[in-house]
Amino acid sequence: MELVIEGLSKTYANGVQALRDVTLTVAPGMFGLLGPNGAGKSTLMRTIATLQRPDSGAIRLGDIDVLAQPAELRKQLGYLPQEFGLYPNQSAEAVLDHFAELKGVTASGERRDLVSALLQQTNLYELRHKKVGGFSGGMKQRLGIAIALAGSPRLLIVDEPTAGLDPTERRRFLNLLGEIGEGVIVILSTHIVDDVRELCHRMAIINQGAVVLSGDPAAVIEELRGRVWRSVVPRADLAAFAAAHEVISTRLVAGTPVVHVYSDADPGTGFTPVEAGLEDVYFHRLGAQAATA
Amino acid sequence: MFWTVLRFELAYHRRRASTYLFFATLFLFTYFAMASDAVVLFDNQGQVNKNAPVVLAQTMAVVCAVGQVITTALMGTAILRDVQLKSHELLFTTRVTRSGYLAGRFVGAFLVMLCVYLALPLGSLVGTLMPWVDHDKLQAFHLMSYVQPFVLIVVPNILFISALFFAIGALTRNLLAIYVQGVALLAIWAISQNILGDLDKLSLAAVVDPFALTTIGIATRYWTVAEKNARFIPQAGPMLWNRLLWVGIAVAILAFAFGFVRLEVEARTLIPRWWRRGSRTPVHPEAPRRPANSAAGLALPAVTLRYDGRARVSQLIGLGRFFFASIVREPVFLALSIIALVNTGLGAWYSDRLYGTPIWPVTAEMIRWLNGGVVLFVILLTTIYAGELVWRERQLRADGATDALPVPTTVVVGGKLLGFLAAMAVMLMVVGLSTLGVQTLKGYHHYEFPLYAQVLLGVVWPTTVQLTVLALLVHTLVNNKYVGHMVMIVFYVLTAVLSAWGFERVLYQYGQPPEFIYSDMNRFGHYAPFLTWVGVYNSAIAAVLLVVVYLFWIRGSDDGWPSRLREAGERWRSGVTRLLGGVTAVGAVAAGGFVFYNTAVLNPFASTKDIERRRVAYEQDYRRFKDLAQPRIVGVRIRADLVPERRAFALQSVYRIVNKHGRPIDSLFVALPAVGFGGNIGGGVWSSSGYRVDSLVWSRPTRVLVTDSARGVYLYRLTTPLAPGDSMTLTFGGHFSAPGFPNAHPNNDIVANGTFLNNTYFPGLGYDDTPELGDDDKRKEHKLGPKARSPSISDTAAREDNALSGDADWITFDADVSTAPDQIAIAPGYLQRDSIENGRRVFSYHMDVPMVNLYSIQSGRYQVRHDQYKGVAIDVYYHLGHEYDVDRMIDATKRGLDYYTTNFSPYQFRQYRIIEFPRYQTFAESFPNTVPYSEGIGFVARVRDGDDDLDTPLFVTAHELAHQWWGHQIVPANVQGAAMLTESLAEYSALTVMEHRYGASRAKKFLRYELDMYLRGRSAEKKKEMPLMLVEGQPYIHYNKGSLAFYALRDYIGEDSLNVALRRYIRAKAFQNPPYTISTDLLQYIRAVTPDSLQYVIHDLFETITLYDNRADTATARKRPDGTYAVHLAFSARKLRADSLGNQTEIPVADYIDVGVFGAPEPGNALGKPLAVRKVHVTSDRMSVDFVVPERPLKAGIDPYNKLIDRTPEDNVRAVAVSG
Repeated sequence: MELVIEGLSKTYANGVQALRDVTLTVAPGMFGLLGPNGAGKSTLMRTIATLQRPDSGAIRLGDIDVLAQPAELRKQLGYLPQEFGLYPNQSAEAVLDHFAELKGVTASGERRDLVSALLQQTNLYELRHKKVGGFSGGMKQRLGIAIALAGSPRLLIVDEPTAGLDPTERRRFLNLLGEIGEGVIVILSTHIVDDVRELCHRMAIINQGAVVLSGDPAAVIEELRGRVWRSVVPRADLAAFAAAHEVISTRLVAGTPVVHVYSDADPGTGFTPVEAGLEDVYFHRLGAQAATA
Repeated sequence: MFWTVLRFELAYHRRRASTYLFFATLFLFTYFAMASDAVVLFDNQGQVNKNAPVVLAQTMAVVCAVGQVITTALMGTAILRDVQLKSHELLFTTRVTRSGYLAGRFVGAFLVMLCVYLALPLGSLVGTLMPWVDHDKLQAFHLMSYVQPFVLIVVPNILFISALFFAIGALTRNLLAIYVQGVALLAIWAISQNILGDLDKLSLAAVVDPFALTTIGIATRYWTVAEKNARFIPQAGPMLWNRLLWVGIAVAILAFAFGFVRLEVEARTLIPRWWRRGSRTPVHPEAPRRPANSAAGLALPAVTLRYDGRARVSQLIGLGRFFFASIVREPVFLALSIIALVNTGLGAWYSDRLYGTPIWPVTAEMIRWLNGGVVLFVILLTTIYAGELVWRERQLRADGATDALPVPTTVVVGGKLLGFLAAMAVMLMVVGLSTLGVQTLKGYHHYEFPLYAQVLLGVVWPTTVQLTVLALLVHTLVNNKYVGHMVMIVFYVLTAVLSAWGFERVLYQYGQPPEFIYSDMNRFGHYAPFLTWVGVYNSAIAAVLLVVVYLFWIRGSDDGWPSRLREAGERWRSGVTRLLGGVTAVGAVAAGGFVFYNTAVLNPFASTKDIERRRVAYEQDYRRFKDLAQPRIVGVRIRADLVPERRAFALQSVYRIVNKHGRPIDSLFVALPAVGFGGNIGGGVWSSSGYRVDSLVWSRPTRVLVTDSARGVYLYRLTTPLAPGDSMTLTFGGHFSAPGFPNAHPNNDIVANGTFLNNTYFPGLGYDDTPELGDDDKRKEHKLGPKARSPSISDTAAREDNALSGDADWITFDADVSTAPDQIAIAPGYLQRDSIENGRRVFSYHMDVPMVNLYSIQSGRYQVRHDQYKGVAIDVYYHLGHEYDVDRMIDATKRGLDYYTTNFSPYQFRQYRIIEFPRYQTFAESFPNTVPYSEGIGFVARVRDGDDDLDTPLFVTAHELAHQWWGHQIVPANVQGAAMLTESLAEYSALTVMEHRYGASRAKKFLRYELDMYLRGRSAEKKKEMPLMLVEGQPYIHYNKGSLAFYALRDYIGEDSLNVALRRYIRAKAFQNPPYTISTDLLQYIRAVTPDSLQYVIHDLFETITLYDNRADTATARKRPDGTYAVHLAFSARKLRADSLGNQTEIPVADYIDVGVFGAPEPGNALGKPLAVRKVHVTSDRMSVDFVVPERPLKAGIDPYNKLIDRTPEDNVRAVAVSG
């Protein structure tokens, strides 16, 4: 079963074109959706999650025409929205139970077992009687994924789940995602390159509403192999340097700018070749799109 | 720093639309209060100018009290705003100082508040300038009329509430806390008004009202119309203390807030820990049980996912339970429920007292409080929570997760609604417990749980459902929480004014609980089908609206109208939706059709305006026949066939009529307003008519001139005129039926149990002026001149008619009444026969002496208590369960018979009967040997003898018994002063009986209420106050001043002398034929027994409006060597004459007035043991008097018993300063 997205476009009433002819095919497994803030990732996620309608295009999950049969998709869906909230004056257990019931787990015995198992898996069992209002960001995200996982979804959408989490919580959360069984389509939307690198077998980069790249992370990195060069540039020379070279990214390392540039051939003295990373791909692609836009 | 913050705050509010909206709201409110009749704040102002300073002050005080939405928005959020916008972390780390920040914010917001509230005087002022305003109701512009109330009332009021809201906002940083606090303040205010309403606690109530509304009310409560138009609110006394107190409290609150608040992120709040628990306390990360980098696969138990019908039902219930649990735990819900509980409980605890005497907390009384007390909270809770239900997930940002769930929108909407309505049902039942608690605490254990359930769950709860669904719809459609709330407020305002604008059909009154009266005797009676069907109709509309809510319920993040419409269209395409929509719409139309059929077809609908117009047309068409000479009724024989089971009756009557005039009579005018205007028009109830005339047959040949059955007027021409002294008969037949239910004012006279019909259902001879409009403002609207309340005392023609009946003098009377076999029927006269005929129980009554043309027909399932006293049979017919006061009634009858027969004249009948009727009306009325007596005013009184409660059953019984003399022996002419001869004398007689039974202190207590009611009554006079002898049907004069005047007179001339005068008067005037007696006749007899030195008293009490302003100035005492005390009392005495509008002029004092010295208080006598009381001749406005008393004096004063009418009776007595 695949998720097929064809020619999805959406323009908001205020004129912002959030999606431009987005076409993607997502197979079971982890799929990373990378993009800067405001790239249209959330719009795409919400559209797949039946919360929003596109102006044009089609979405299919297996046999389900998502736009025509939203209720059918919802039966297959686990969705963890970006920056979501929950009922603060209810306990974690009550909230999860509530969602599980609405997901269709109506037999109370089964639901009890499921809630208990989900709380165990997300390491929230000890906190099950605590009110959700007091949860930290990480706990809330884990409860969110527990909710998303309830009811055995075939399609799991997690939108920016690690934003704002500390490294421990982020790791814990990514591990949880990593444990999700085979046969489930997991779409992880993020602007953190490392999330994708660590987890995903397939990825797409989206910017300004359009897909700028899609493929296997390893393969796309391979495309840049031998074309990324590093140089240390004095601050005063940065502008002139940027005019002369195709700069991928500039970082300050201990106060001194360290620049990655893209070049098919060795750009000359002061440059050393570096192993291309996903980040280089990301910045390169965004930069390329900005140049053509 | 202060100025920067201040400028920022001012600029902030200047840019906000809400600031202007608040201003506009207040402006329009006072504007319309002036410029139209749509906004009526204080009814019954009569001749008081709409722009009098007092009225402006009251308006402003009320708006301050209810305008707390504004305070919340402007003040409560002054600090909170930064926290909500999360800008506080930025702000607090700048160089702003704490005091500069707080003071700048407070002063800024307060200045904005002042500007907004300036709309009140401005709106009023602009309103008065409108060209169409009735200038008779306005006075010339005085700047001070607007400035003084603003400075004295508005500024301190808003300073106090601003300080409170500001402090609560700063200290809790919690919007809900501010809301709860606002509602709590309003509720506590209302409750305290309730508790402090007692006469003894007025000065306390005046000081503690933070809005000064009570203070104004108390300061001006005895002001006459002239004073209200001329005077400003006094700035001294309680008002001054009140203002100082609340400004002081405001300062204290601010000082505390300034000292306590820290500019820190973690608020140093006053919210207790337990409250914050859960939502605020962070949960600390747990010790990881599994290594963070473990990669074991997720193992979840297999579950069955169900989406079938059963699953949907269990999801619906699960959602309902989830929201129920969440709502009932919320502080706002809990706080409002507790306030509702306390409010209702206190209201019920202090419920209905007549002269301070409590009643048994019968369930009928309790549900009245429940039904009334809980409505406000239902409105508040539904308004707040409907918004919450719609907005909750979106506010929490949980909507992404919830909206993508595989659960139908119908289940979501239904589950939320279910949860909230269940919470409301529980809240209502908990509030019901408060009145059960009141019953228990008061020792009343006859619990009627089904009745509580019927009212709370059958009447109030459906209203909750309707309002909730409407609010859901509004919030769903407007899709903006604040606009949604605003729309709901507009809806509530509209429902309040719609009926005033002529939309009176019950079909338009969605969400308003239908009005009903529950009576112990008749239970819900004929209101039951009305309540049921109106409830079904409104609930069906709610169901239709709910379908619309579903169609437009927002799911997902598309909230633009194009996508919502498309989505609604898709939802509508579903067969189930269409089926539901169709069924509910058909249901609503069918129920509406049935209600319409009942309220407009079976019972023709007439709006108040329609009825007014009909009354005007009646007057215009027929008043010209007012002086048409008519024969007089001399004999009446009636037959009434009552069918209480079907609320129907048939009446027949045969009148023997005689031409008592000196000229032949050729035209006959029959008036039966009940046909056109419904029953009980005398009582002011204009019920729907179902009454038809079947036949009017004269014993002589006549020709019909007019048959106007729409208004009940029938005019005939006699073929041969009726010669003087000649007689004939009129035979009448009519019938009443009550098909279905009317729109409003059902006929309450014929009911399943407790029927009470009177003369108004039988034809009268000659023009009947009862349908004429009485209110002069209304008359003016219809271009009619003012209506005289009573013919002049010098109108000799009017003296030909008596005040009880315009078409007869003395009649013979026979009645046959048939009723249901299990009921007893009663009419004046003596029972001749009680038999069963054709399955109906028939009673025949015959009166063997002449009586006035006034009779009643009652029927009910009665218990009867018989007694006998000196040859008079005493019978009380009462409802099973209402035994409480029956013995007191019988005892009062015996005491009254004793006193009246000894001192006035023999009793003309051999029997005295008291018959209970349902509480549709609350009065007792004296018919010949028969007294219908409402269940609401004496059958459930709870007189606690130990607590010196006034024995109201005794008083009312003795009063009605006294009418057998004053009304049925002495029959006054229908002119000014008539009520003095009936009501004042009955009041005096009953008071004397009570005093003989309970002693003087009980009479004093009674008279304090009478004085208060008289002074308040004259303050609310709409036309002219009259002297007692010219009273024109003004209850505060003929009852309240009447008993004061006769009691004072008795005090001056002695009980024996007064009774001699009354006895002589009765001997001369009882059972008299025209011209009838007038009040001056009685005064002549009184003058005859009054010494010359006291003749002035009669002039003061009866012929003029005389008031006193007496005051004890100083009271000192010195202990003398022999152990006695020499007391010196200095006092002032002023005597005032008032004209009909209350303009007063001082006249010289030359009066005999009590002065006295009092010792230690005694049980039932708070004034103290009288040590020396004597009458002194007061001849100047400042005098002193010396006493020698044997005991230590505590108090001394002038007119200590308040026998004279004095608007400040409390300063008559003062404490004695004892030296030596």
